[in-house]
Amino acid sequence: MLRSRSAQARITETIAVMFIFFILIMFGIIFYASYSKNAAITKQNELFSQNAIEITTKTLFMPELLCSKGEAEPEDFCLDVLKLKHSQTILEAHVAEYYFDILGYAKISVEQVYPNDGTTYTIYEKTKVSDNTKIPSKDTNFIVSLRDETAGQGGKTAYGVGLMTVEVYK
Amino acid sequence: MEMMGLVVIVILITLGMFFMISFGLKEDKAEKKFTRKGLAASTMGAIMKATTASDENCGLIEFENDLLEDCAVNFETPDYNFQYNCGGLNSCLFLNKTIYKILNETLWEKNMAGKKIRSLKKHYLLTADRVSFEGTKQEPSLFVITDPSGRGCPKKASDADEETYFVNTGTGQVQTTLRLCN
Repeated sequence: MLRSRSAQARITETIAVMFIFFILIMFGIIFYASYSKNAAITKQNELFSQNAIEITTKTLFMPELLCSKGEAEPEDFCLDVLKLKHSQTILEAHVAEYYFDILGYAKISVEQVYPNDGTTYTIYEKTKVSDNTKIPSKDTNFIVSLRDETAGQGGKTAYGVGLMTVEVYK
Repeated sequence: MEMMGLVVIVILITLGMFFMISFGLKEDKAEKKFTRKGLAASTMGAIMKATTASDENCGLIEFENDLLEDCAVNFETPDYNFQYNCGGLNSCLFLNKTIYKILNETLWEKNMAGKKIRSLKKHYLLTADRVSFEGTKQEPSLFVITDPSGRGCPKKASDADEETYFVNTGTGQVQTTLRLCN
Protein backbone atom coordinates (compact mmCIF):
# COMPACT_ATOMS: atom_id res chain seq x y z
CA MET A 1 0.00 0.00 0.00
CA LEU A 2 2.83 2.34 0.99
CA ARG A 3 4.84 1.51 -2.19
CA SER A 4 1.77 2.10 -4.36
CA ARG A 5 1.25 5.61 -2.82
CA SER A 6 4.88 6.50 -3.34
CA ALA A 7 4.69 5.40 -7.00
CA GLN A 8 1.49 7.43 -7.49
CA ALA A 9 3.17 10.54 -6.06
CA ARG A 10 6.12 10.08 -8.40
CA ILE A 11 3.84 9.67 -11.42
CA THR A 12 1.94 12.88 -10.48
CA GLU A 13 5.22 14.68 -10.02
CA THR A 14 6.47 13.52 -13.44
CA ILE A 15 3.20 14.60 -15.09
CA ALA A 16 3.46 18.02 -13.45
CA VAL A 17 7.04 18.44 -14.63
CA MET A 18 6.11 17.36 -18.18
CA PHE A 19 3.14 19.75 -18.14
CA ILE A 20 5.31 22.70 -17.11
CA PHE A 21 7.93 21.67 -19.64
CA PHE A 22 5.41 21.66 -22.50
CA ILE A 23 3.94 24.98 -21.35
CA LEU A 24 7.42 26.49 -21.49
CA ILE A 25 8.07 24.99 -24.93
CA MET A 26 4.75 26.44 -26.12
CA PHE A 27 5.69 29.91 -24.80
CA GLY A 28 9.01 29.62 -26.58
CA ILE A 29 7.34 28.72 -29.89
CA ILE A 30 4.84 31.59 -29.61
CA PHE A 31 7.59 34.03 -28.73
CA TYR A 32 9.81 32.82 -31.59
CA ALA A 33 6.95 33.05 -34.10
CA SER A 34 6.16 36.65 -33.18
CA TYR A 35 9.88 37.53 -33.19
CA SER A 36 10.35 35.98 -36.65
CA LYS A 37 7.37 37.92 -37.99
CA ASN A 38 8.77 41.22 -36.67
CA ALA A 39 12.24 40.37 -37.93
CA ALA A 40 10.86 39.73 -41.42
CA ILE A 41 9.02 43.07 -41.41
CA THR A 42 12.16 44.86 -40.19
CA LYS A 43 14.25 43.20 -42.89
CA GLN A 44 11.71 44.19 -45.52
CA ASN A 45 11.77 47.83 -44.35
CA GLU A 46 15.55 47.75 -44.30
CA LEU A 47 15.69 46.57 -47.91
CA PHE A 48 13.15 49.23 -48.85
CA SER A 49 15.27 51.98 -47.22
CA GLN A 50 18.37 50.60 -48.90
CA ASN A 51 16.62 50.74 -52.24
CA ALA A 52 15.57 54.37 -51.59
CA ILE A 53 19.18 55.33 -50.84
CA GLU A 54 20.46 53.48 -53.91
CA ILE A 55 18.01 55.34 -56.17
CA THR A 56 18.97 58.67 -54.56
CA THR A 57 22.67 57.96 -55.12
CA LYS A 58 22.07 56.90 -58.72
CA THR A 59 20.12 60.11 -59.36
CA LEU A 60 22.81 62.30 -57.79
CA PHE A 61 25.40 60.85 -60.15
CA MET A 62 23.34 60.63 -63.33
CA PRO A 63 25.30 62.14 -66.25
CA GLU A 64 21.95 63.37 -67.58
CA LEU A 65 21.72 65.79 -64.60
CA LEU A 66 25.25 66.32 -63.27
CA CYS A 67 27.18 69.56 -63.59
CA SER A 68 29.80 68.59 -66.12
CA LYS A 69 32.30 70.63 -68.06
CA GLY A 70 33.81 68.83 -71.01
CA GLU A 71 36.35 66.26 -69.90
CA ALA A 72 36.73 67.75 -66.42
CA GLU A 73 35.61 65.92 -63.27
CA PRO A 74 31.88 66.56 -62.61
CA GLU A 75 31.04 68.70 -59.58
CA ASP A 76 29.81 66.89 -56.47
CA PHE A 77 26.14 67.23 -55.42
CA CYS A 78 25.50 69.62 -58.29
CA LEU A 79 22.74 69.51 -60.89
CA ASP A 80 22.68 71.55 -64.08
CA VAL A 81 19.53 73.68 -64.40
CA LEU A 82 19.66 73.55 -68.20
CA LYS A 83 19.68 69.75 -68.05
CA LEU A 84 16.93 69.72 -65.41
CA LYS A 85 14.62 71.78 -67.61
CA HIS A 86 14.64 69.09 -70.29
CA SER A 87 15.26 66.00 -68.20
CA GLN A 88 11.63 64.96 -67.74
CA THR A 89 10.95 64.91 -71.48
CA ILE A 90 14.06 62.84 -72.13
CA LEU A 91 13.55 60.45 -69.22
CA GLU A 92 9.87 59.99 -70.02
CA ALA A 93 10.65 59.08 -73.61
CA HIS A 94 12.98 56.29 -72.54
CA VAL A 95 11.33 54.99 -69.37
CA ALA A 96 10.39 51.56 -70.65
CA GLU A 97 13.62 50.62 -72.35
CA TYR A 98 16.13 52.20 -69.96
CA TYR A 99 15.22 54.32 -66.92
CA PHE A 100 12.70 52.01 -65.27
CA ASP A 101 15.40 49.35 -64.83
CA ILE A 102 17.57 51.91 -63.01
CA LEU A 103 15.04 53.90 -60.99
CA GLY A 104 12.02 51.59 -60.65
CA TYR A 105 8.81 52.91 -59.13
CA ALA A 106 9.77 56.37 -57.88
CA LYS A 107 9.18 60.08 -58.15
CA ILE A 108 12.21 62.35 -58.33
CA SER A 109 11.85 66.09 -58.09
CA VAL A 110 14.09 69.07 -57.44
CA GLU A 111 12.79 72.25 -55.85
CA GLN A 112 14.75 75.47 -56.20
CA VAL A 113 15.10 76.89 -52.69
CA TYR A 114 17.54 79.76 -53.34
CA PRO A 115 17.01 81.97 -55.27
CA ASN A 116 13.43 81.15 -54.48
CA ASP A 117 11.31 81.48 -57.60
CA GLY A 118 8.98 78.61 -56.73
CA THR A 119 10.33 76.35 -59.49
CA THR A 120 10.05 72.60 -59.06
CA TYR A 121 11.48 70.26 -61.67
CA THR A 122 9.95 66.80 -61.79
CA ILE A 123 12.66 64.68 -63.31
CA TYR A 124 11.09 61.23 -63.20
CA GLU A 125 7.71 59.91 -62.20
CA LYS A 126 6.61 56.31 -62.32
CA THR A 127 3.98 55.59 -59.72
CA LYS A 128 2.38 52.28 -58.87
CA VAL A 129 -1.27 51.92 -59.75
CA SER A 130 -3.52 50.61 -57.01
CA ASP A 131 -7.28 50.44 -56.39
CA ASN A 132 -8.01 53.15 -53.84
CA THR A 133 -5.18 52.02 -51.56
CA LYS A 134 -2.27 54.23 -50.77
CA ILE A 135 1.01 52.66 -51.85
CA PRO A 136 3.58 53.03 -49.05
CA SER A 137 6.49 55.21 -50.03
CA LYS A 138 9.71 56.53 -48.52
CA ASP A 139 11.15 60.00 -49.06
CA THR A 140 14.86 60.70 -49.13
CA ASN A 141 16.01 64.31 -49.30
CA PHE A 142 19.28 65.75 -50.44
CA ILE A 143 20.36 69.34 -50.79
CA VAL A 144 22.11 70.05 -54.07
CA SER A 145 23.76 72.93 -55.88
CA LEU A 146 21.91 74.17 -58.94
CA ARG A 147 24.22 75.52 -61.61
CA ASP A 148 22.60 77.97 -63.97
CA GLU A 149 24.82 79.07 -66.85
CA THR A 150 22.13 81.38 -68.22
CA ALA A 151 21.99 83.46 -65.01
CA GLY A 152 25.75 84.08 -64.88
CA GLN A 153 27.31 87.54 -65.02
CA GLY A 154 30.76 88.72 -66.06
CA GLY A 155 32.03 85.24 -66.82
CA LYS A 156 30.88 83.90 -63.46
CA THR A 157 28.40 81.04 -63.21
CA ALA A 158 25.37 81.37 -60.94
CA TYR A 159 24.78 78.68 -58.34
CA GLY A 160 21.57 78.22 -56.40
CA VAL A 161 20.43 75.77 -53.76
CA GLY A 162 17.88 73.07 -54.41
CA LEU A 163 16.20 70.28 -52.50
CA MET A 164 16.08 66.95 -54.27
CA THR A 165 13.32 64.62 -53.09
CA VAL A 166 13.31 60.97 -54.09
CA GLU A 167 10.06 59.21 -53.28
CA VAL A 168 10.37 55.46 -53.68
CA TYR A 169 7.28 53.24 -53.78
CA LYS A 170 7.18 49.85 -52.11
CA MET B 1 15.98 14.81 -10.13
CA GLU B 2 13.10 16.01 -12.34
CA MET B 3 13.18 19.36 -10.55
CA MET B 4 16.84 19.77 -11.46
CA GLY B 5 16.03 19.08 -15.10
CA LEU B 6 13.20 21.62 -14.98
CA VAL B 7 15.47 24.27 -13.47
CA VAL B 8 18.05 23.67 -16.25
CA ILE B 9 15.37 23.96 -18.95
CA VAL B 10 13.96 27.16 -17.42
CA ILE B 11 17.46 28.66 -17.29
CA LEU B 12 18.14 27.70 -20.92
CA ILE B 13 14.81 29.12 -22.13
CA THR B 14 15.37 32.34 -20.17
CA LEU B 15 18.83 32.73 -21.69
CA GLY B 16 17.41 32.08 -25.18
CA MET B 17 14.70 34.70 -24.70
CA PHE B 18 17.21 37.19 -23.35
CA PHE B 19 19.42 36.83 -26.44
CA MET B 20 16.49 37.03 -28.83
CA ILE B 21 15.19 40.21 -27.18
CA SER B 22 18.62 41.80 -27.17
CA PHE B 23 19.08 41.03 -30.90
CA GLY B 24 15.54 42.13 -31.69
CA LEU B 25 15.93 45.50 -30.00
CA LYS B 26 19.26 46.28 -31.65
CA GLU B 27 18.33 48.94 -34.23
CA ASP B 28 20.33 49.21 -37.37
CA LYS B 29 21.37 52.85 -37.45
CA ALA B 30 23.69 52.56 -40.46
CA GLU B 31 21.12 53.80 -42.94
CA LYS B 32 20.18 56.86 -40.85
CA LYS B 33 23.84 57.67 -40.36
CA PHE B 34 24.59 57.40 -44.08
CA THR B 35 21.72 59.71 -44.99
CA ARG B 36 22.59 62.27 -42.30
CA LYS B 37 26.29 62.34 -43.21
CA GLY B 38 25.48 62.71 -46.90
CA LEU B 39 22.91 65.38 -46.16
CA ALA B 40 25.39 67.39 -44.04
CA ALA B 41 28.03 67.19 -46.78
CA SER B 42 25.67 68.11 -49.60
CA THR B 43 24.10 70.97 -47.60
CA MET B 44 27.45 72.54 -46.78
CA GLY B 45 28.67 72.09 -50.35
CA ALA B 46 25.54 73.72 -51.79
CA ILE B 47 25.59 76.67 -49.37
CA MET B 48 29.27 77.37 -49.85
CA LYS B 49 29.00 77.19 -53.63
CA ALA B 50 25.90 79.42 -53.84
CA THR B 51 25.98 82.87 -55.40
CA THR B 52 23.74 85.84 -54.62
CA ALA B 53 20.39 86.18 -56.36
CA SER B 54 19.80 88.99 -58.83
CA ASP B 55 17.16 90.62 -56.59
CA GLU B 56 19.76 91.24 -53.86
CA ASN B 57 21.16 94.08 -56.02
CA CYS B 58 24.82 93.34 -55.42
CA GLY B 59 25.80 91.46 -58.55
CA LEU B 60 26.86 87.84 -58.65
CA ILE B 61 28.80 87.29 -55.42
CA GLU B 62 30.03 83.93 -54.17
CA PHE B 63 29.05 82.99 -50.61
CA GLU B 64 32.28 81.13 -49.87
CA ASN B 65 35.04 83.13 -51.52
CA ASP B 66 33.61 86.64 -51.47
CA LEU B 67 31.01 87.12 -48.72
CA LEU B 68 32.53 84.85 -46.06
CA GLU B 69 35.95 86.40 -46.54
CA ASP B 70 34.52 89.93 -46.44
CA CYS B 71 32.62 89.00 -43.27
CA ALA B 72 35.73 87.58 -41.57
CA VAL B 73 38.00 90.48 -42.52
CA ASN B 74 35.59 93.27 -41.60
CA PHE B 75 33.77 91.62 -38.70
CA GLU B 76 33.02 94.04 -35.81
CA THR B 77 33.85 97.07 -37.94
CA PRO B 78 31.36 99.69 -39.20
CA ASP B 79 29.22 98.77 -42.21
CA TYR B 80 31.07 101.15 -44.53
CA ASN B 81 34.20 98.98 -44.24
CA PHE B 82 32.48 96.00 -45.81
CA GLN B 83 33.17 95.41 -49.47
CA TYR B 84 29.74 94.01 -50.24
CA ASN B 85 26.26 95.17 -49.38
CA CYS B 86 23.57 92.74 -50.49
CA GLY B 87 19.90 93.40 -49.90
CA GLY B 88 20.86 96.37 -47.70
CA LEU B 89 22.89 94.19 -45.32
CA ASN B 90 26.61 93.77 -44.73
CA SER B 91 28.19 90.41 -45.63
CA CYS B 92 27.86 88.90 -42.14
CA LEU B 93 24.20 89.85 -41.68
CA PHE B 94 23.35 88.83 -45.22
CA LEU B 95 24.97 85.39 -44.82
CA ASN B 96 23.29 84.90 -41.45
CA LYS B 97 19.85 85.77 -42.81
CA THR B 98 20.15 83.89 -46.11
CA ILE B 99 21.70 80.70 -44.72
CA TYR B 100 19.09 80.63 -41.94
CA LYS B 101 16.34 80.88 -44.57
CA ILE B 102 17.86 78.14 -46.74
CA LEU B 103 18.40 75.76 -43.81
CA ASN B 104 14.98 76.49 -42.38
CA GLU B 105 13.19 75.77 -45.65
CA THR B 106 15.14 72.61 -46.42
CA LEU B 107 16.08 70.89 -43.18
CA TRP B 108 13.30 72.15 -40.93
CA GLU B 109 9.94 73.06 -42.40
CA LYS B 110 8.48 74.99 -45.30
CA ASN B 111 5.19 76.83 -45.14
CA MET B 112 3.43 78.55 -47.98
CA ALA B 113 0.34 80.72 -47.48
CA GLY B 114 0.00 79.38 -43.92
CA LYS B 115 0.04 75.78 -45.13
CA LYS B 116 2.81 73.34 -44.23
CA ILE B 117 4.20 71.88 -47.44
CA ARG B 118 7.26 70.10 -46.09
CA SER B 119 8.55 69.07 -42.69
CA LEU B 120 11.85 67.27 -42.23
CA LYS B 121 12.48 68.58 -38.68
CA LYS B 122 16.22 67.86 -38.68
CA HIS B 123 17.93 69.68 -35.83
CA TYR B 124 20.95 71.63 -36.97
CA LEU B 125 23.66 73.97 -35.78
CA LEU B 126 25.82 75.97 -38.16
CA THR B 127 28.78 77.93 -36.80
CA ALA B 128 31.28 80.12 -38.61
CA ASP B 129 34.43 80.89 -36.63
CA ARG B 130 37.63 82.74 -37.34
CA VAL B 131 40.77 80.70 -36.79
CA SER B 132 44.10 82.53 -36.63
CA PHE B 133 47.20 81.41 -38.53
CA GLU B 134 48.42 79.92 -35.23
CA GLY B 135 45.31 77.74 -35.08
CA THR B 136 43.47 79.47 -32.20
CA LYS B 137 39.75 80.09 -32.50
CA GLN B 138 38.77 83.73 -32.12
CA GLU B 139 35.69 84.78 -30.16
CA PRO B 140 32.94 85.68 -30.89
CA SER B 141 31.77 83.51 -33.79
CA LEU B 142 30.96 85.24 -37.08
CA PHE B 143 27.50 83.74 -36.89
CA VAL B 144 25.69 80.85 -35.23
CA ILE B 145 22.52 79.49 -36.79
CA THR B 146 20.25 76.97 -35.06
CA ASP B 147 16.95 75.39 -36.04
CA PRO B 148 13.78 77.27 -35.01
CA SER B 149 13.21 74.99 -32.00
CA GLY B 150 16.36 76.50 -30.49
CA ARG B 151 17.70 73.07 -29.55
CA GLY B 152 20.25 73.01 -32.35
CA CYS B 153 22.64 70.10 -32.36
CA PRO B 154 24.97 70.23 -29.35
CA LYS B 155 28.39 68.60 -29.41
CA LYS B 156 27.38 65.99 -26.86
CA ALA B 157 24.55 64.68 -29.06
CA SER B 158 25.31 61.05 -29.89
CA ASP B 159 23.29 60.89 -33.11
CA ALA B 160 25.05 63.77 -34.85
CA ASP B 161 27.10 64.16 -37.99
CA GLU B 162 29.05 67.18 -39.07
CA GLU B 163 30.75 68.66 -42.09
CA THR B 164 33.40 71.36 -41.91
CA TYR B 165 34.65 73.77 -44.56
CA PHE B 166 37.74 75.94 -44.31
CA VAL B 167 38.12 79.18 -46.23
CA ASN B 168 41.39 81.10 -46.32
CA THR B 169 41.15 84.83 -45.69
CA GLY B 170 43.65 87.65 -45.26
CA THR B 171 43.42 87.33 -41.47
CA GLY B 172 43.50 83.56 -41.11
CA GLN B 173 40.87 80.97 -41.85
CA VAL B 174 37.13 80.72 -41.47
CA GLN B 175 35.94 77.39 -40.14
CA THR B 176 32.30 76.72 -40.98
CA THR B 177 30.75 73.64 -39.43
CA LEU B 178 27.28 72.20 -39.89
CA ARG B 179 26.09 69.63 -37.36
CA LEU B 180 22.96 67.62 -38.01
CA CYS B 181 20.96 65.58 -35.50
CA ASN B 182 17.72 63.62 -35.79
